[in-house]
Amino acid sequence: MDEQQTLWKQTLEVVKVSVSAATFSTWFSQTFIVKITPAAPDRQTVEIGCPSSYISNTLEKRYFGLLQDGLNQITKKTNNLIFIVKQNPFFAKTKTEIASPLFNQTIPSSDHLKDRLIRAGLPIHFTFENFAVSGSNQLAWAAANAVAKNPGHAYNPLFIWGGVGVGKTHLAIATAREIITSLNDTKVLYCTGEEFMVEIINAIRTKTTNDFKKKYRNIEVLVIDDVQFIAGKPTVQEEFFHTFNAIQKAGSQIIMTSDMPPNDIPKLADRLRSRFEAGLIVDIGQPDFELLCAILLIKVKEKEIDLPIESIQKIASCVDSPRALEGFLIKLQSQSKLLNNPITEELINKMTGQKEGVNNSTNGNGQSHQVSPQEVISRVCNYFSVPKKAIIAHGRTKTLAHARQVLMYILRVEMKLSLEEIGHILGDRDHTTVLYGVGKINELIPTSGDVEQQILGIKKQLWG
Amino acid sequence: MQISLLQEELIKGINTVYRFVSTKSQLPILSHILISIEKGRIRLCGTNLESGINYWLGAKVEEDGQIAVPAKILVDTISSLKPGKIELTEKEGILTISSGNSLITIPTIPANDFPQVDYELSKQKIVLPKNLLESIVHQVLFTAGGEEGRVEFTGVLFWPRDKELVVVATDGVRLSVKRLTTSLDLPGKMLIPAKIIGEINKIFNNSEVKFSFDEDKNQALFGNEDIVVVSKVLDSEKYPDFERIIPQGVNVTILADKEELQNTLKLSAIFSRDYGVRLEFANNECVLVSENPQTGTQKSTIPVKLEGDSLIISFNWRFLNDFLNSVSGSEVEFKFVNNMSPGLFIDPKDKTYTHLIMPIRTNEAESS
Repeated sequence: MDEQQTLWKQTLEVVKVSVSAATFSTWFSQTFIVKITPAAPDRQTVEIGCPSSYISNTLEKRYFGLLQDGLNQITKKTNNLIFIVKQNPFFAKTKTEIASPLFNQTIPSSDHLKDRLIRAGLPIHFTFENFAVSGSNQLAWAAANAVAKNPGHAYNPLFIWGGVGVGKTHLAIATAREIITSLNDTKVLYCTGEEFMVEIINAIRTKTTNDFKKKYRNIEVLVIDDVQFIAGKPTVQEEFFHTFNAIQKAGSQIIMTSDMPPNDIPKLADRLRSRFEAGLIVDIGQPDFELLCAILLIKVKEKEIDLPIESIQKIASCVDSPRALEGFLIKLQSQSKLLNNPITEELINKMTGQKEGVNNSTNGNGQSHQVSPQEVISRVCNYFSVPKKAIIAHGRTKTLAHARQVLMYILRVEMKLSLEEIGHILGDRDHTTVLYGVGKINELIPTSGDVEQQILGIKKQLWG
Repeated sequence: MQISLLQEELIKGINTVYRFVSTKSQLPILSHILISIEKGRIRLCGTNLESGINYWLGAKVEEDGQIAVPAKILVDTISSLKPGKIELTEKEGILTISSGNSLITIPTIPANDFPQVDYELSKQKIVLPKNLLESIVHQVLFTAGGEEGRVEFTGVLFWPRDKELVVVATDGVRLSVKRLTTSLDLPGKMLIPAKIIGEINKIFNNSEVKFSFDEDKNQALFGNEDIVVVSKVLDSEKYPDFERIIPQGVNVTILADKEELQNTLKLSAIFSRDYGVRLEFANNECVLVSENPQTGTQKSTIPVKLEGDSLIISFNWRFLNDFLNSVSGSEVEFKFVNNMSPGLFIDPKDKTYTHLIMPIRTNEAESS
């Protein structure tokens, strides 16, 4: 198809030089090749579509020779021309459409919420219902709720910032979702700062910046996730600036998320910064223990896992971010399926022990009194009946090595010492050695009951 | 070429043909009218390449010939001449017109550059009933969209279905549907430019019109012995599914006096902003509110018969007015689902006619 159109374009270029501009635009400009049928190696029939019979008649009567010569010259074949009346599909597409609200309205019965969410680019599982609220995110939640109830008027723009995994995106999407749900035909668009940037670049490349502008500037609610990505890119910022102004002028809502407040985003254009600051800036802090419990309860319910509240508290106490919670739950689920065990407190204990970044000693797990590393060393030596000197020295008998690894594990996981510190205490060992030792025990715990018993025993002696 | 005929006859023909002459074409020949002598009659012909017209006139023919004359100059000239006999002679590309004391010469261009405007109706022609177009023009035509919108919206859809003919026009904001109980033997859905329907109604003025469709050339021909109008047919494939948007399950029904509403609307229009007028229906009353910070405010109450909940809804007053003008009876009926969905407008006297208007979204409407 493209080849035919290129051929036709070349032919028309030839024609263009022999006729006046007015003649060309009236008779030739909207014609196109419908199809080419080869008749013989050096002959072919070319069907030419014309928008009306006036044009096909005139071309046939007056410009047949001109077109044929042009085609013959380019294809090096003898061309037989047939003119038919047909609308040019390539021409029709370029015509811009104007609004026709009667046919653009969303008919509730035939248009489901899910379709509308997908059209807006919104992930479907983020809602206000599954967003847990506590002190760290209360303000942000209240602001988002106000925006959802009165988009474009309450706080515009709404700028939500916070660290990794605290729920910025969740909140922004839930707001947009709420607006879609309550006001059926609101035009909502969700995209990340990076998607926005890629789209601009593509628009510039394909020369469709007008379409791009139209798409974004007709939107009633725009959600830009991780807006900090556009910083330091002058053209993207420029376009975003104009988009921002156009949207805000039309009274539409803008919601942005970022990992830092506008003031701290490096290389952000000043005029954008001042605009971001014009609305409401709210931050979401790291979730506290209670919030993590609440999030876990929601997630447990979603995944239909039956967990007692004690286990939930236990998990929440050893995991520090909501995303890690999600990961932990998935791991828990797969472990129980894999080993064909029901989820018990034991399994959770094992898993929490196994997790990197466990936080037992600080998060009120009953291990209140301070124990020094030296104390731990003597306890472990006692337990395995090995001399303290030997454990620090370089002997590598099996019992000695095992005792040493258990010691490393306890120092690392329970005492939270750094790998270097542990290596230093244990006779200036390399930190990779320590890492290996901790890993070894980590591997053994879920499978070997002995090792687990040993560690529990030592812990009991140390912390009671 | 040498002919003589009456000015009254010629000006009628030229004025009609002139409406089909392209005024903004870059190509000079399209702003000309073709005068051609065939079989003892004059054929006047004009086209803009989308539609065209052939108009035959009787005349006293001395010598055959054909020329293309600049349309504007010809119209202006002939209409300034006194009624009575005029003579047209062409020699070496110069047209000489003599009438009474005036002698006019106009340079012309050769007629063989003039595009061919078909005028042979095919054998399978359909006779359109005399009053068919009248109701369509009155109730449907005004709803069609202008040039600037989607191409489909510039047309009037004729859809033969069972024993009725459904005629539809929309501009994307409002919609008219007329169901006629005639079994026209159309080859299928036809989308004819609204402008042409209007012209045909004017030209043939309630006399019988024959219609035929040339599928190869994708054009429709309308005509009788003296006049044939040719028009391209639009692609009906892309016509939106209009039946989908006709609201079902009405919550509010209003019956109002047409004239009273028309008069009140006229007042509201003065103070409307961006053509918007708010209608507040409650307790068998309709309050028409229009507010414009520049001109002032207006609030008028008229009695209506209300069934269902109270409702506040805004419309473009011109659309309401257009509808009211299309109603033949003295009462009008409005049906609404809510203030976001299109309103259904009905002429209780004519159940074959349905009109739809999309409300304007306003802040008041949103919050209520």
